[in-house]
Amino acid sequence: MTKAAFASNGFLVVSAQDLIRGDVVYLGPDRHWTRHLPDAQLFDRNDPEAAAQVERLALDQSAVIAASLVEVFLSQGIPRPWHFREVFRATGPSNRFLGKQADQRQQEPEHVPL
Amino acid sequence: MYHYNEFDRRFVTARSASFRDQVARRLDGSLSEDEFRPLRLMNGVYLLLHGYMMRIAIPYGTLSSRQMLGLADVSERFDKGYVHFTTRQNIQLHWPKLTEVPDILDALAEFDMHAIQASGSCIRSVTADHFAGAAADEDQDPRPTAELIRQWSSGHDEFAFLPRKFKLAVSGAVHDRAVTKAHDIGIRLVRDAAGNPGYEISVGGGLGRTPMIARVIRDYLAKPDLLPYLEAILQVYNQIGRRDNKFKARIKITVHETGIKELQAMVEARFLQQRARFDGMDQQVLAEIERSFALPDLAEKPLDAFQTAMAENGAFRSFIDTNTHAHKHPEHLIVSVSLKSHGATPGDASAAQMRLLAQLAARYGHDELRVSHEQNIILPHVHKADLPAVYGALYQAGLATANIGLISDIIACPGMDYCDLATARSIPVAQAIATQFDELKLEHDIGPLKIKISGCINACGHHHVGHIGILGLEKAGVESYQITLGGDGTEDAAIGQRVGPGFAADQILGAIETLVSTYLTLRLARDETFISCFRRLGIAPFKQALYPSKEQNRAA
Repeated sequence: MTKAAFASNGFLVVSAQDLIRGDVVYLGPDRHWTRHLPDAQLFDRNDPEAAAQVERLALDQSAVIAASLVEVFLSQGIPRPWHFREVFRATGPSNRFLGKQADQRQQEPEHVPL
Repeated sequence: MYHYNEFDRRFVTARSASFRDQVARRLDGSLSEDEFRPLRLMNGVYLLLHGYMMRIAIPYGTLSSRQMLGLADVSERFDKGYVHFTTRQNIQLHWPKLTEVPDILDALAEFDMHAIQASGSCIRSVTADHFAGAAADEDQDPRPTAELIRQWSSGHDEFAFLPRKFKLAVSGAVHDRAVTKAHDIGIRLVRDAAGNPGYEISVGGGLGRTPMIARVIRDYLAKPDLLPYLEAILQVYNQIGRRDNKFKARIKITVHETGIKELQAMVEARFLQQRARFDGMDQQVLAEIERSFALPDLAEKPLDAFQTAMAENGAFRSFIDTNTHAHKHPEHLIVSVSLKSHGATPGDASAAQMRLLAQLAARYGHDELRVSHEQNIILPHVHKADLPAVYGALYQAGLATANIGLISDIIACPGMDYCDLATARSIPVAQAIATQFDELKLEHDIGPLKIKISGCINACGHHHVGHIGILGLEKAGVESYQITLGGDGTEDAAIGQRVGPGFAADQILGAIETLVSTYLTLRLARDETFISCFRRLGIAPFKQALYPSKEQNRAA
């Protein structure tokens, strides 16, 4: 997966980490936080609203912290980060079946091969 | 070993209570995240990729059975039933909830543990030779000095806001197993010409983005002068260490920019002032500490069972040959329990494994355990007569891997699998190398070889001092691994040399195989180790093997 995929078919997702659990969350379409990337709201990569959300979250860290933008592209209709670091955040560690991949409610992105 | 007194207990309990209050104030909005972050870091709590990580201090890597059992319980009650032993002899929990951290601190305090000095720009938890008090090559036990440093540095107000983190390591043996030369201050227990015990003090070592070997600033310091001398170094660093640039803030840069001679003059001048302020109380405390580190009462027992097992059980013999080390007492051995079974995550131990290790220490090891910076667990005092039973129990639990010091005994930081700073993974690279060389059944033939892997430039995996160092980086959106050769973390400390352009994730195992087969071809005899062979031949033949075309060589 490369940045080229993002460039041609890319969206932005607003991500952060839960203040209490520390785990990765994504901003959903209803402005609620979801723990699963497939449920995240997709912003057009030129939509200033995504960055505005991150700026707002920098000022209000009452529920989530470390807000950032994640660049994703659609693969078979499912958002997938182009950067492997974000695949780890969306999935969990590759040496143990823990984190989001262990929650079978949703299909998470396929992990990064070595 | 040292046991907490009332003062120590009050100190850690009070810290735990303060942090409970700080967490409550963070949750009710009284503290902002910016205000709270340094407070959580002072209690070992980081925010990593998948959540919070809590680093628990194990001063100089020494644990009692009770503490190991306590940590196993904590890992099950508050985390996912395992811990990660780190390259600074500490442990990390990778899945705690912020709201439960105060409860974890309370639980730790019950068995004399805490997370103080596990993070922040302070004097960090002191490390020491993991064979301290037991090794045959040891002249003086470094633990009393390390404990004195712990007591002096814990909550030392003057040094709570240093330009950057500050790490000390202590060693008292011929062989440096504590990587003292890669620490901000490295302390070696030595003797003067008359045989009086004292210290050799080195300063300005460190790995990270600017690796440097420490320079000797005092070749002999009398024992009573230790704390005033350390204060003098810290005061000079606190004053002139660079606060304008995080990447130049460690004392190694101060040494580099100021020059060792000038720094030495500044430290000596300050030392004379500091020494006058010490009234000898620290030496009384040290004398008391020294009594608590007396060698345990080592009984003599018949050795028949040990000798029989050595003669008849090849796997046992291999374990003894590879995983034990000479003890001061000839009938005892130091046992290293590998947390690197082939394919496992280096340094991870399950609660069940920790409980077994605690039980073995209680029954056969005078209640002592050590954590090595190489991410293994040590039983420092085991009688040979007890080794068949110890080995049998370890074997049953999958903890008898005979690979200490071999190619699969790899140091690896958590890397991109967990760490927020990482640029690539470390753990799967270690797993792949260990698995491959186990399948080839080559590692005992290859002999001593230290591979160390870091998942970013900060070098928690000590790659600069690996015989083969691997540094994981990101290159054009994928993981890329840079190899260094010839590093050494011992008394012959050396920073590894970069061999050439990096390798993709699916090429790194092949590159390591190439390096090893090159070594096997070039070594003069079986007893010429990888590092000796490298020192004899230099980097050229290894470079040629890795990058056979001239064009690639030029690119390097």
